[in-house]
Amino acid sequence: MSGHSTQNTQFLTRTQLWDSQIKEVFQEDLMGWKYIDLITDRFPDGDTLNIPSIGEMEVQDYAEGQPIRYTSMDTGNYQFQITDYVSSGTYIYDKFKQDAFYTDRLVAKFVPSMNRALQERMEKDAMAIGPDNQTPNSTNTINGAHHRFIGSGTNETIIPEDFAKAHYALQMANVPMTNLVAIVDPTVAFKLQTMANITNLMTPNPQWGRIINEGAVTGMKFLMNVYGFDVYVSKFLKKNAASETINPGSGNVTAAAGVNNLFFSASASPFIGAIRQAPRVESERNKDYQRDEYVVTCRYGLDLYRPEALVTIVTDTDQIYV
Amino acid sequence: MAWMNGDGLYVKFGTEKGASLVDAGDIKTFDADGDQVLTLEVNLAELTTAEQILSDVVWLPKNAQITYVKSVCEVVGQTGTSIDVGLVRADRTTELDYDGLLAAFPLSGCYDAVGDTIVFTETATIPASQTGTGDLIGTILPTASDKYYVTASYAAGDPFTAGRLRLSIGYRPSAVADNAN
Repeated sequence: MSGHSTQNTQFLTRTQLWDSQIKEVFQEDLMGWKYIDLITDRFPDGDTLNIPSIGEMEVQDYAEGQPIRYTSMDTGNYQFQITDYVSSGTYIYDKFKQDAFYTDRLVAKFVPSMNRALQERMEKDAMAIGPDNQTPNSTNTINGAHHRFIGSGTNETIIPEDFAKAHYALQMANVPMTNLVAIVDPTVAFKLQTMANITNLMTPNPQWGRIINEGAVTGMKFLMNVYGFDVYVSKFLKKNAASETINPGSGNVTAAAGVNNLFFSASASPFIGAIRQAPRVESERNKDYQRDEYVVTCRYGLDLYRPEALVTIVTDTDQIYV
Repeated sequence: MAWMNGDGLYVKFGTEKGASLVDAGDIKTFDADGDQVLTLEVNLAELTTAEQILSDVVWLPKNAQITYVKSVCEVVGQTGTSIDVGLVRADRTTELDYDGLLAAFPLSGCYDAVGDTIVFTETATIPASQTGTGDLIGTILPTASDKYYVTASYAAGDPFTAGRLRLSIGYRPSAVADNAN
């Protein structure tokens, strides 16, 4: 007596199937360039754009019969450059195109994926340009206020008072105190949501209670302001390559593996940028190699234009499980 | 607390704004030789042993030739012994010569009586018995900096409790060989 089973009729069973869909990775929201003051139209050619700056006049006591004294305004010069020239390229051989089942979907993703890679590079640059132009291991003090410091919480985490300190630093530097923005690492968002004294905060301000029900973050934005800052979350903030020690006035504090959280006013962005060549896609047939080639290129520049309009709070990133 | 920003601009905040350590500036009237005259009202009690920039809105330009320095005592100096007056670059920290205009300019005979008037040129001092000539007098300011702030300090250990000098610095702008007049 004989019949069919998986043991004796294995050739009729497809042991592995290949789906028609391709699984793609999740993508983060990109927000950095939203806060760049783009001056592309003012910088159409050349390597360096000079932006002169002028100071202020003074008043002096005067007495009848004495000659008035003539004085000058101080001047300075800010220089901005197109510094980045980036590319992303790939190719696909004819033989692979002919044999591969997913060819169409793969090729269709070439340009979007290269563009995305380029945008992520630009996002990373935008988030790093501020910290890169500050002096590490220094409070970067302007008018007595620290524009770079380490989070005041336990193990170099952030606490709400750090937002107030950032607010103070911007105020002392005459920064317009409107549209205040904080871009923080997810570890900072975690800390703010799980602060031990959060129940105390809920008492005077019921909106904090929403944290328990809904969490503090929706999408990439916090539900509420913290000391006037709209808070956004990004994973593109610059991570420090080495530990950093800053003395904020109450003893040296060292942050290891720190991340640079950004605090500024969107009404007077500290960042400046220009795009000399917007992302440009080019493709061509290479008959000698029997393949199709795809290239995306872009030229742009970024810089910290107003250092006084930026506060960076460095926090540890390894404190999320306490 | 003022801040020198990355542009090279000196930025003041709040109550610092609007005034410098001393009143100073060019006056409209040129001297007998047609040179420009920079005047400074130096309150001796505001000086320290460290060099201080006297005015943030007054400077001598590069290629200017300093023709003379004149001091008139308006208020008698008290308790100190001497002062230095010199120049610092536009970066506000690099010394050109901190006693290049007046070097150990003494209280005695120079500002211990109201009306004491001393004039220093490269070749002569009036009255000749007085000391304190700075090495920059007569020279053309170098091009290492676009401008030079005037600084002053008092001799260590001898602070002034009172005293005011009216300093006049005669200078000829653009005193380079191809356009000197």
